[in-house]
Amino acid sequence: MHWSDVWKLAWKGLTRRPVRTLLTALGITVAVASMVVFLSLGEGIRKVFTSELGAIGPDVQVSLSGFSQGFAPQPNLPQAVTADLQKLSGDLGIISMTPVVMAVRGSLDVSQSTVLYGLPAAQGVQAVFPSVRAASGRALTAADEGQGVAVVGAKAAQNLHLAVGSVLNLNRRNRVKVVGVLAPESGLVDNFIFLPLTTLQRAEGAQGRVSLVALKLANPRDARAVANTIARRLNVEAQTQSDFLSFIDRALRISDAVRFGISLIALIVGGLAVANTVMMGVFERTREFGTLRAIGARPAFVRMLVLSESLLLALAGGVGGLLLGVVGIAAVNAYTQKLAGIDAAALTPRLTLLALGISLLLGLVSGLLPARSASRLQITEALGRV
Amino acid sequence: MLPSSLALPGSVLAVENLSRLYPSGEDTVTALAPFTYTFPPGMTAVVGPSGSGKSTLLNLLAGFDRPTTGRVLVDGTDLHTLSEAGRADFRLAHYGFVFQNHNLVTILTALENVEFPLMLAGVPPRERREQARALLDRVGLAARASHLPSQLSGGEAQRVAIARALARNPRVLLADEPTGNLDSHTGERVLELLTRPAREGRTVILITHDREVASLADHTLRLRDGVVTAGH
Repeated sequence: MHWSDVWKLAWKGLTRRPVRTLLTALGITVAVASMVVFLSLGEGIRKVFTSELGAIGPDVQVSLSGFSQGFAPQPNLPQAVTADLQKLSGDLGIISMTPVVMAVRGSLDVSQSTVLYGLPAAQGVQAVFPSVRAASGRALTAADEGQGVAVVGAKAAQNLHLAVGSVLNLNRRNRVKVVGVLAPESGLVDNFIFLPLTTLQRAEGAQGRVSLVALKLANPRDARAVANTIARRLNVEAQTQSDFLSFIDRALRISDAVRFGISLIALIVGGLAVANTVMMGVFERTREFGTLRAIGARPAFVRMLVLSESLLLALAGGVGGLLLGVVGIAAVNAYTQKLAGIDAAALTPRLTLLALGISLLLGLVSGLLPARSASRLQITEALGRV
Repeated sequence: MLPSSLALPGSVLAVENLSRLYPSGEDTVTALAPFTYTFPPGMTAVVGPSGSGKSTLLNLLAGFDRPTTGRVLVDGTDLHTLSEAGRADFRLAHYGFVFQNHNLVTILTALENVEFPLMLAGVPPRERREQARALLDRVGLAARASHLPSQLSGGEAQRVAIARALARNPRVLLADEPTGNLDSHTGERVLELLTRPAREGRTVILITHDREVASLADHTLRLRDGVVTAGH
């Protein structure tokens, strides 16, 4: 007996009741698709951070509270720390130092949310994001320091309907004029509004304080050692790019687990549907299995046959789920592109393998009981010969 | 080889002290009283009224059920000393079955049904297809090879079942009321197909309650209330 024969028989067994098979496969399809879409969110965000921030972020980031406050820390670090860092710069190989103030402007309408990013106007946006360029208007210059001007990321400009010459209210007392709009970067920077450091400090009531100081090193490989030295000597938090990425990864893993937990409910329901369909097939074919056993099929053959049906059904549902998931991911990305200029969801090879693996596992687990029942049929009872 | 005490020229199937008792509450029901018998080559009809123990005997001969006492010997092998899988392999190698209801696999065509035992035995696809075609031709159904059982008449389906039973060229053919659901004309055609292997010297066991059908057999074994009352 060849495996291909078993698969063919299993396929024929499933097509005996095509509507029931199709409906069960659809159940799995929806369950797997929901899992794929849920988990693809983590994959997409992971990709954005790894490819974008990993490439352009500072070698070392100094702040007071590390990542405990998330991506945009409060401006609670005394700016005087830059003077201390300056003293160490020779020893530690610091080639540039950029004090940054960050403030998140949330809104009930997510598309209206933005990140205000203040940095010394003389250093310009390129001090932290080297690849950006102005699509219209101009970049920040030294003369802008303390002035009410802003350079806006492409997506922020689109969502907030800003153009060169527009006026943006930071709060009741502070408003700035847009002097430049950046070209799209396909990343988080598209959602930022860049302001001169002191302008944002004033608006936030954070004079003399910053959120973080971004450092570029002569030798980025020393980042870990430099971060440790700074943390020890200046009594501050100092993180490297890899700290940041592992922080993001840790956060995503937790959210992955939560999202997987939610999809697990759908998967369990799908698995029960497969078990039900296969078990009904076994009951309906009791006489047939009895005949197969009578003419010389081993119990293991019957077990394999039923298990193959279950696996095929789950695999068909899994492939369908992946395809539907791709459509779902495209829909999610269309939305997040509009919202933030990023692809928040991504179907990575490991997610594809996970979806197919889980489908097969589902098929295997769901098929175990029906397969066991079918292989343990008494021939005399199955053939009605008692 | 059968043991000398049971050996008959050309015989491959014998039972020794074979019985089957069923518990029924605190009592015991004797479905088959102990008996010893060597099935001669050719066709043996097992006759008896309903409930006489015919099906019990066939269940034991086929290894579907385990005896309370005794042995079923096929060419020297005691069938009931084998494991479940071992008995399945043994049936595949040595037995052919024809049931009252043809018991064809409904999702397989006539040709695929005949191929089935060959597939279980690991015969390569092309070879088994050729063999199955030849068998269907032998039962006069070559033109119906691609039909599903639901597209065949009762007689045709039973002939496909006979072709399937003959696929592995078995030494023993067990037929349980093979004409029970057929009209007399179709039944004759089916019986003709079963007498052919018997004439070739194979052991054909025909379970029937029809005396006319039994009269076609070379030998007769009568059963009444689980007791074998006459042989040969």
